[in-house]
Amino acid sequence: MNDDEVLIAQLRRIGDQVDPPPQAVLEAARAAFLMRRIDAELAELVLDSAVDAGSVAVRGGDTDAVRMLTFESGAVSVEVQVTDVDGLRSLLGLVSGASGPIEVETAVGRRSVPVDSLGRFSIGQVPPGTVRLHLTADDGTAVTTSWVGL
Amino acid sequence: MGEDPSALLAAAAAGDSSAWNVLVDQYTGLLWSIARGYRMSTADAADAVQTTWLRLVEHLDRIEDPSRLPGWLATTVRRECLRILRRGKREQPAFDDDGLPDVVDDAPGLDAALLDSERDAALWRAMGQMPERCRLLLRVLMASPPPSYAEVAAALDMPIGSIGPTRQRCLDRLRHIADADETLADPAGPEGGRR
Repeated sequence: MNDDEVLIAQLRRIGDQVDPPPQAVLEAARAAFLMRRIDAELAELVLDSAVDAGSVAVRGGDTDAVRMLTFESGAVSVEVQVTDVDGLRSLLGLVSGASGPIEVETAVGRRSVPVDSLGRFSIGQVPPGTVRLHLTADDGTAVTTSWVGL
Repeated sequence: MGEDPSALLAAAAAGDSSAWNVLVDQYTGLLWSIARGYRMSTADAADAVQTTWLRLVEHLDRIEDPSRLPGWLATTVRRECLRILRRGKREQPAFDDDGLPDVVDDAPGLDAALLDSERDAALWRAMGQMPERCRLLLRVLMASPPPSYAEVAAALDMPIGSIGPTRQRCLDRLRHIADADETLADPAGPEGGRR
């Protein structure tokens, strides 16, 4: 090993000592496998105003900014508007190609909300963290959105 | 490095949770280093890493080139970090899970106290004083187990060819800062400074 490789190895040893991945992170990663839904079709996150250019959201430290998310699968699309209310997330959604209740899943559990005749739904008081939605397409297919950090 | 990700990915896609666990053990260190390289707090780094693993679960059947899984993971966690950064600083939770205030990345002075050798401590403090691009590169290169240049390139979205020269320049700079730090440092007592 040359000097640079020795130094990198020394840094690695330091990192292992002072900043390794926390045990809880490893455990959550192992448990992620249990979240697999083979039976459901995935609705991918195709647009996130927090990341994608040309977004409608106001950026630059404006914490009141509205975040827009769009999920799409073959037959279903879900648009969600996310706002912060007292540190919790409030979701207003519009779904097409699906009907019936929508389930919101977070790290702490699941909750079901109704969808009105125009495809609108509202989910309040969602704790910050990763979230996904479960819904049923008009043809009966179970659809699950990508996880997204809110 | 480690076992062939293609075989592990195929086994995990077929439902083998032990193959999944090997993937987790093999790559979480890299993902954590990348998130820390992007200066994520403990809570945000945990979110970025977890979202990355959840995305892989979603895509187990549709990774186009399984041999490039580490690059896919590195790209995914980088995107998640940028998502978190661009979303802006999120509200500080009143308490973390452990009830202690969150220590924002580095806090080199504090963590350096955990290190036995003065040289190690000086190097870790020096990391906090590096220019952003260097600090990010070194934090990813020092991941455990050691990442390949292809993985580092994906994590930083930089050409593979520029990693070697940049690494050399950044390490020289790190040595320089650590040397100056050690020269200035008080000869602290052996018991001093531990949290």
